[in-house]
Order: sequence, then structure tokens, then C-alpha cells
Amino acid sequence: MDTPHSGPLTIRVTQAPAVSIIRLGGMATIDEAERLTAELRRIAGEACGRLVVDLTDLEFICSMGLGALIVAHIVSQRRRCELVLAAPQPAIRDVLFTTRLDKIFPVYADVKAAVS
Amino acid sequence: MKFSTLVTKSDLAAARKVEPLVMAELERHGYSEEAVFAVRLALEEALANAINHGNARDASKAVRVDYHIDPRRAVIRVSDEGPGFSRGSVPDPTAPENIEKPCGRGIMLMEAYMNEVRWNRDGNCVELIKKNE
Repeated sequence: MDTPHSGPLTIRVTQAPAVSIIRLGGMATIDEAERLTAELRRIAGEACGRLVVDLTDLEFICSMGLGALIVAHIVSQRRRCELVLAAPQPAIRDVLFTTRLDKIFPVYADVKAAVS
Repeated sequence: MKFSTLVTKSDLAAARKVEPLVMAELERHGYSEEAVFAVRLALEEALANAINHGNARDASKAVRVDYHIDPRRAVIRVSDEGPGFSRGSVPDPTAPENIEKPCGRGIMLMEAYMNEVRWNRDGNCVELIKKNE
């Protein structure tokens, strides 16, 4: 038995001119962190322009998942791109603020604001 | 206090099998959604530390989880077979020189989301306590 908030991690990418949107869903748990890191590193290495990580459907993130976001941020910076976060649920927002990662990631209330 | 025990190998996916058992107990005793999230987060961080740092991902070493959950509080102990560590030796992940490092936030999250976090003398067993408030 598991809790209702226990969907597997999903990663979906949408490309648009000058912006890539990565929609994360489910649970970024310790056993998913390596896959998340590899995927975000790959996407950040290929993306041009702004990279928006849409957290609308992300229900959980551990510190290794936060590390995946930081790796993508570093790769983006090297490519002179910007990675921003959008629409975190309150619990995810709390984790970002607790770890002070809002100091390195711009965090937008919704995807529309993040894209613009 | 009576504890339930689960022993697992040093594998992140295998270790997570304890989570549904703990989460179900929390929900059975009426812990809030926020408390369940907090315990899951702290437990994941303790498991990751035990496997990645304590046991250095050595598959021959085990991780032991003991938990007791009642309507008043949840007590979870995560032990590894490593040499242990000193809490004071772990740098502050929010310091400017560390803020962009991909790792090093697990202990901070445990301490932020639990009411109490303490290690045994050797530093290879962490006890997490969350009150049902």
C-alpha cells in the first residue's frame, strides 16, 4: 500500500521558439534522482534560450532531486541560458525556500509568467 | 516503545520499500498531510545518507530501519554499517560557497522538517522524531 501522492516520476519536454518547458510530475525520490539528473543534464545541454521547469505536478522532491535541478542550472549557465522554476506546489516551494535555492533559481507562480 | 524493524541492502530502490509501511502507519494514526510529507522527506534523506555515505554503496552492507509510530509521535532510526561521521564536520549548504553544489542538503532537510534529529555516538545511526501536532 502506498499513499495517494506516490506517482512515479514523469519528465515531459515541450519545445517552443527560445524556450523549452520541462514538466515534472509525480515523485522525485532517491531512486529516481540519477535518472532525473541524467535527463535534465541532457535537456539543458541541448536547449537553446530559456529553460522552464514546470513543477505543477511534482508532488515530492528529495535533496538528490534538488541536486538534479542544480546540475541542470550549471549546464544552462555554461550555455548562457537561464533555468527557471514554475508553479511549485506549497510543499515543494517550502523545500526550495528551506534550502535557499530560491536564491539561485527564479521561482514563478505559473508557467505563463516563467515563459514570458 | 515497541519498534518494527526492516533490514535492507544498500540499494536506493530496495531501501524505499520501508516507506509505504511507515506512511501507512502515519495515516492510520491521523498525521497531517504536511507531517507525512515531512517524515517521507526525512526518511528518504536518512536512507540516502546511510547508503551513499555510510555504506558507500557497498552492496554487502545493510541498512536497518527501526520505527515506532503512535498517535503522539513517530520515531524512526536508520542505521548503517559505515564508520560514522561528526555532524559538526558537515558544511552549511546555504553558505555562498556551497549554494550551487548539487549535494549536501540532506541533513539540513532532516533537521528542518523533524522535531528532533540526533545521532548515536559513532555517527552511524540517526534518530528522527516527528510529533503529531
